[in-house]
Amino acid sequence: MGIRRNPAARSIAQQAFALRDRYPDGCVRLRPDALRWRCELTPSALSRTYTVELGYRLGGHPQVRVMKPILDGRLGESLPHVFRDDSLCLYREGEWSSSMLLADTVVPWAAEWLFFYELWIPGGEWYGGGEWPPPRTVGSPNASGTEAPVLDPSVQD
Amino acid sequence: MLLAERTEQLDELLGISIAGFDIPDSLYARVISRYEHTASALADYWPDGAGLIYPQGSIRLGTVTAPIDREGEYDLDFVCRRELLREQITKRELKLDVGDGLRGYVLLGPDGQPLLKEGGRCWTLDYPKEPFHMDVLPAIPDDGLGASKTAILITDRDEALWLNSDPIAFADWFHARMREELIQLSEAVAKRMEIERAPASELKTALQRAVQALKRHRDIHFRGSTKDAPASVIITTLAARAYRPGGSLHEVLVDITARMPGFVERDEAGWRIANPVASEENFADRWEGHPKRVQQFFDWIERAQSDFAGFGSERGVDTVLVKLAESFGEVPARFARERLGGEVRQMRDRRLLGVAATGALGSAGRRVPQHTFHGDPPEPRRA
Repeated sequence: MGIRRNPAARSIAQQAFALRDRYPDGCVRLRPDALRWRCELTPSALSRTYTVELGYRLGGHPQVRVMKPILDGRLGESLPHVFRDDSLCLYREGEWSSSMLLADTVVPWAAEWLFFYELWIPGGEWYGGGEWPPPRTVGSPNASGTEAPVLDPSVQD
Repeated sequence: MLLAERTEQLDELLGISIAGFDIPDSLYARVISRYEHTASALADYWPDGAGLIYPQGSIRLGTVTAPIDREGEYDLDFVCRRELLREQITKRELKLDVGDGLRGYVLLGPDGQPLLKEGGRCWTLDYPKEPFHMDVLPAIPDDGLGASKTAILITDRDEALWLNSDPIAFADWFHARMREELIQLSEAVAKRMEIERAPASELKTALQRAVQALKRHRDIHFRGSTKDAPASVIITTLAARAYRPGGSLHEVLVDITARMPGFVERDEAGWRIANPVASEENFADRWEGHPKRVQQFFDWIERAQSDFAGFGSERGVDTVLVKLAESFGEVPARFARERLGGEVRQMRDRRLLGVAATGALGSAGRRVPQHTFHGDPPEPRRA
């Protein structure tokens, strides 16, 4: 993949180091070409504490999931700004590249997502801005341009 | 604004919500202009200060609270004090006399085209195109022994008795309950705004906010049965008596509501909430012969206490917002979340949003880079 050949791409070790540095309470599990990071995030003083898991494999896109608590949707509505598997959709194509540190991009974006999620629950308004791609057509999950992260079975449980 | 401390953040949300019940500045300006116009017309009608009109109640106390419904109106209270002795005029004549003055004003066709309506004790200037009306209460000076310069006599509903009242002294008493705080607040706001004197609308103490919060909570609690609801003057008196300055707004709300019932007295004559500046006036006289109202008051204040205490009991901004909506209505809760959401969004867009090691967003910590939330819009969930 193009990203993997990018000379500026950060190594897994660099990514893990930055995650440990910025979020000392998080827990990183490493493989040579992938990592898995779990951490508790509390996006504001009144917020809940969420357990978030980030999976990343070199050459792929990071995947962020909220493990705990189970996120409530609004009655009859799915969650905003998520992929079909409920992993968080935090950036538009081109806004993140493997030369960036996950700790300084995707993680704070996830904290922001959680904050706007709490504001979204009561009235269904998303105050965080963003873009909705055109509605998906049945049978072609990414036809709309929503770039699903690379699901990497090797760093799944 | 995002604040690091839980108590401060809760106060911020409460403050924003309650500020949502303030009368909007533009409307307030129109009220003042209508009032001043009325006052100057009456000064022509009764020269040499023989008929003076002045604000009383919430507009004087800084506790005006928006009506809960769009159709509802701000109910603003004024006194029209005629310089007459009680020997010179009967109660009925006083009412008609003030009505004549106001009718003369209305016939001039002033701005806002008010209509004059007669109420039980007062006259109402109703502005058909405005969301407010002015209740004008006829009064004469109280010339009784030891009465203050601001003491007045008003008539009861049956125009059978002269009743003591003193709205100016009451407002002075109310303001004295928070004098220190008002001075500090004025200095702080003036400093922040880099001006010499802070505008009055910027100055709201925790007591004023608490009174507004209680009035709104009452309006929601007694929706549909307003005649049983405790009068604003009862709420204001008990809250000001119970008020202990110094705590956070949330602490003040919880503390005041816990202490308010303790200031309701009972003697052989019945329930008593004395006017703090005219002890012969009993604000609880409306409860006489209405044991249900008494019970409903105590039930309500207990409910308000538990609702206010509950604001901080569970985690999640959403739970706080839902509780705010239950206590104060959907509009202030939406106002609070729009403000908070808008501010955080703006901080991020201006690269001012930081994140701490706990994931806490705020002005401290490493900057959060710009990004665009993406993905699919929420869609109806298939069962």
